[in-house]
Amino acid sequence: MPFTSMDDLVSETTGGKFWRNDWNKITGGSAYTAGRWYDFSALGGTPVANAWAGTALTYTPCTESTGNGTQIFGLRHGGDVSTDTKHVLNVAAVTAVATGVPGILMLVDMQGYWPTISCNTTSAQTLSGTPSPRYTNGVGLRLYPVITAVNGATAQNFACSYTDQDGNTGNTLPVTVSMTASSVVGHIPTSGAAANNYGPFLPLANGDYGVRNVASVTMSVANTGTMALVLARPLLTLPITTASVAGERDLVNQLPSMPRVYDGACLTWLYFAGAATAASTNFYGSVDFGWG
Amino acid sequence: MPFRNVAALAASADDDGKIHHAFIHKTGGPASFSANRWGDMSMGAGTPKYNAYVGTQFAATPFTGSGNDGINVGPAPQAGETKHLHRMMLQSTSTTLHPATFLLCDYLMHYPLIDGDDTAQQDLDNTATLPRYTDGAGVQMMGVITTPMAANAVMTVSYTNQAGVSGRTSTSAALFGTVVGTVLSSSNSTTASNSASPFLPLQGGDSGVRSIEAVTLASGAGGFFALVLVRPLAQVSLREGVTANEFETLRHRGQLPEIKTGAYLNLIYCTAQAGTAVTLRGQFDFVWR
Repeated sequence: MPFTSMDDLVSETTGGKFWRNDWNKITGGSAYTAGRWYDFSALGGTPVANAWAGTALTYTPCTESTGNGTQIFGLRHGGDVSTDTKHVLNVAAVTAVATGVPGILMLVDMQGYWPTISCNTTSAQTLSGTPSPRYTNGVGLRLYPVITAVNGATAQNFACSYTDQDGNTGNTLPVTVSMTASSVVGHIPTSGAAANNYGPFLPLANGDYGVRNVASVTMSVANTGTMALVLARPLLTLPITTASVAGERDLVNQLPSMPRVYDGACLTWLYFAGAATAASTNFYGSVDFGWG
Repeated sequence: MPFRNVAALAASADDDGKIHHAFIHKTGGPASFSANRWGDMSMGAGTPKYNAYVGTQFAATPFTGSGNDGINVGPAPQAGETKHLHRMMLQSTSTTLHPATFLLCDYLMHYPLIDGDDTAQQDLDNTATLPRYTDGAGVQMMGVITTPMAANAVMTVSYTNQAGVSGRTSTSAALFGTVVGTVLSSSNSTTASNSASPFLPLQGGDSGVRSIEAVTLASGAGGFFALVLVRPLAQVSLREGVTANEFETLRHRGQLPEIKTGAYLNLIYCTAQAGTAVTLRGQFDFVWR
């Protein structure tokens, strides 16, 4: 059962139901563009990089202990704790690089993804597999694409057909969503400062507040490169404002929310570049978990 | 037994006297190193005492806090009791020590005098084992420069993980520094590929390190360094000079980090300025029940 009081939190966490995870990531060989979102799961550091393993166009589930079945790339958060419930108590992150700030980090629970979606066809690409998310009926789940092999220079629009939290199939994005041609692996190409960019998540149709599945993806024009389409649950955001000064969030007292972390959660970070972030920029942070 | 509730915490900190106030006064951190690198305050003068990473070359050398060896955490609690960090405060009059982030760590063990010129595999002696966090869960690796180095190198470390699996590998950039006390594994504002600040990366699925078996440098880097196993506990930032930054763990962090008996506490830090850091003062309060 969840924490019933501050007394209970003190008792449970000082009794050992507590885990601190220290992580670090370093961006790759390309600079990031201000105003765009990026996926940190494919970066080197601790935990290891996600190489987007899996069969093309087939849903690949992700968990804490097995990752995507090939790379165990999620932050370790102390293993399964049922029948207790686990929560994020406190987070912090810092970069030593001036162009790494200002930025925003977002912690997400990656449910899974469809890998190796081609950007080089205008035909509808049928996605297969049925997600079994950690959130009933996909409530609160969002979608974002991630570049896994760099694009050519052609801009595209992105469309998809998905099943919402109520099981309605064939839902489409309510607006035109543009993809910026990207030469950076890890870029969320639908995010940015262009008129039809939305980030980090794809906009959902009116009335929708979750995603159960995705049936197909379609590009408006052909370009080179590949991407993965990720199904994830956002948990928290953490602004970082100043180089060498940790952004900190106490989620018990300061921003009382204590986001729940389900058994098996595959936790990764998304990053909003507030400045043109230099290549090989380092990030270090910690996440404190408690359960009871 | 742990704290049953907030009232028990308050009682320990007040009526029961089960609280220890530790003060630190570092009169000098490591000499000036590049802005935005991490440094090891244990190699600074003052209180607690300077840590020279003394030991037999390559031999695992445990740290045990005692007196001013490490931040003085006070008397060991009675059997069945656990000790926790209750408050933390840092202040500096130095003009070169802010803005900065400090990370309080329990220093567990180190392997001294790893030769930066030797490109052969250097095997480490693990006769001694971790004194605390004995399974290695959550334990991190960092390199600390103990004799000035001259060049960057790719470093591969072979270690045993928290599950007791040996032969795990970590490969990253060892970034040289001419200043003793610089954290070897940290890059700086000019960035460097494959660096991992401040801790060495772990192999997939690992959540900690139980021991380090070997280290290999791909090219000569000069100097000597120590590989250090630490358990990070809490962080605090200094945003400006003179003004203290303080927090109470439960009310401002929603947690009460446990301080193991024998803990050797000290700080690593990342400052946005170059220049020798001086006059770091702080207070750490520990409570137990």
